[in-house]
Amino acid sequence: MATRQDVALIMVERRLRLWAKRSWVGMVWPIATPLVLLALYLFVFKSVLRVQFHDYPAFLFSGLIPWTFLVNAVTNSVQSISSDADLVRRSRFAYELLPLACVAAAALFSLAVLAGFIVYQAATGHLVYSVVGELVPALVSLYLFVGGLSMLVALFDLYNRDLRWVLGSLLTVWFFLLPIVYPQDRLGHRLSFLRSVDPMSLIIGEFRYALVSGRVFEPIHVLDVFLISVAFFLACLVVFRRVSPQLPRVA
Amino acid sequence: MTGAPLLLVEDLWEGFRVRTDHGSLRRRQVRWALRGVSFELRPGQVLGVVGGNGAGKTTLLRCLAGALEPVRGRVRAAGSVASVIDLYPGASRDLSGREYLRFLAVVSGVSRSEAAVMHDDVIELAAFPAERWSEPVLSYSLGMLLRLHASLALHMRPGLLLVDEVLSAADAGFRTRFLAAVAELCHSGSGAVFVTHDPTLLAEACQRVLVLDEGAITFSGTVSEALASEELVAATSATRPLADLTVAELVAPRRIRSH
Repeated sequence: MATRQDVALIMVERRLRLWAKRSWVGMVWPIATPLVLLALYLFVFKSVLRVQFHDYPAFLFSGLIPWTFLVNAVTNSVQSISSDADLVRRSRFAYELLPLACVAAAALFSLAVLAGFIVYQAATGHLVYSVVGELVPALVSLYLFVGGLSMLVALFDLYNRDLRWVLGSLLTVWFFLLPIVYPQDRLGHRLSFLRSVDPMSLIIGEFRYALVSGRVFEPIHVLDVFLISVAFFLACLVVFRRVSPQLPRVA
Repeated sequence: MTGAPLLLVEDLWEGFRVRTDHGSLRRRQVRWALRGVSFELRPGQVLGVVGGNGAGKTTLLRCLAGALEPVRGRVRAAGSVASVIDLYPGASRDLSGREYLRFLAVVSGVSRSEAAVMHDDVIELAAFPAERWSEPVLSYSLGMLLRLHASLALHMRPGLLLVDEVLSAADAGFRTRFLAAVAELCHSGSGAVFVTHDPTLLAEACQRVLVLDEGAITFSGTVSEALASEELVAATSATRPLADLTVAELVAPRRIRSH
């Protein structure tokens, strides 16, 4: 008898296999994406706009790691249920595993990128080893937040197909509202409230503190971010499970 | 036949919200696919479900499989359930046959460890060329997908086997082997429900028949009663009671309509 863990593992395995199919370097793209963005933004901000900023590549990359994970997970999740409509109509299983498998597969790639960046920072003498452990709560918060968001977008797509068309644009707007290519204080007074209401802003802050500044995020802020992410994930899971019996009818 | 029913369906209602032209769901409009369906199936029995297009046959199977939660009424199955309903591989279309089979098995309830070793049994039953198992399932014909799904369902030795009208995609050889395997399964105490438009399948494999029309049962009885009934004539588009037809006419259903 298959356990929920069996189903979860086979879903993730299928995602990884599908990523590699019909592509020469399928597994490489999710890892290459943040590097490509890094090169692009370095060209725009350093070479063209001549922004003067200490250790800008590391600053930029520490924000791109959580962001590209979010983009990979959410864009793959949005049609994760509707593209498996036959599977959903055929048998009953924990349907939330469809978007969560996309998140788990994307998480594996983002961990590989993160490990590479940690090694790079260590090799160049920029890593403060004692604060690397601070990344653990940041990663857990990130996965929970993105997991919740992925369930929500996958569910929304079943009822209204507009989201899949505008998702790219919405993510672009969100990207520029987050302190990824610029520091938080450049956002301006009127938009500074985003720092405290957008969990991604806080999570990126945690990544940057640990990887670039070598400082520890205030414990109370770490707890805040964690609790917000847990609450968000649980709320999304509750909504998803309430709607779940309807999915074979609308998929 | 005696004993507790293998499957008990009581006052089953199932409906779908109507979609607008642009795909949104209407709040209050519901199209009923099943209206108060009740029946039971005993161990060893094969039930044939017949009806025109849109009569609610596949919806009934999805309810029996547990994928659809009834709006009203209840479905009680005594054992495990395996189904051969929707064959399209969806997002899995790029997986090889072997990978897809393993995935499908685990999602259908087979543990990962068992799914890893069951391959040879299913290959034997499905009986298509070994090299095709390495090819993506998107290159498979409907008949091959049917073989894969049906062989997996039989391998699971379910208490209740549900087969949609997709069986019409099977060639004569696989159909014969499949029906023999179902008969053997039912002999050991399981049961099966076949959705079909094919009167020969009713005569060959079923003991009881249900005729559905617009979601309601219009006939329930034995196969010989069904073959003489007007409801079955209407549901299979024949022009006279099927019991009046010769065996040659029964096995060539297209000619029935030309009478």
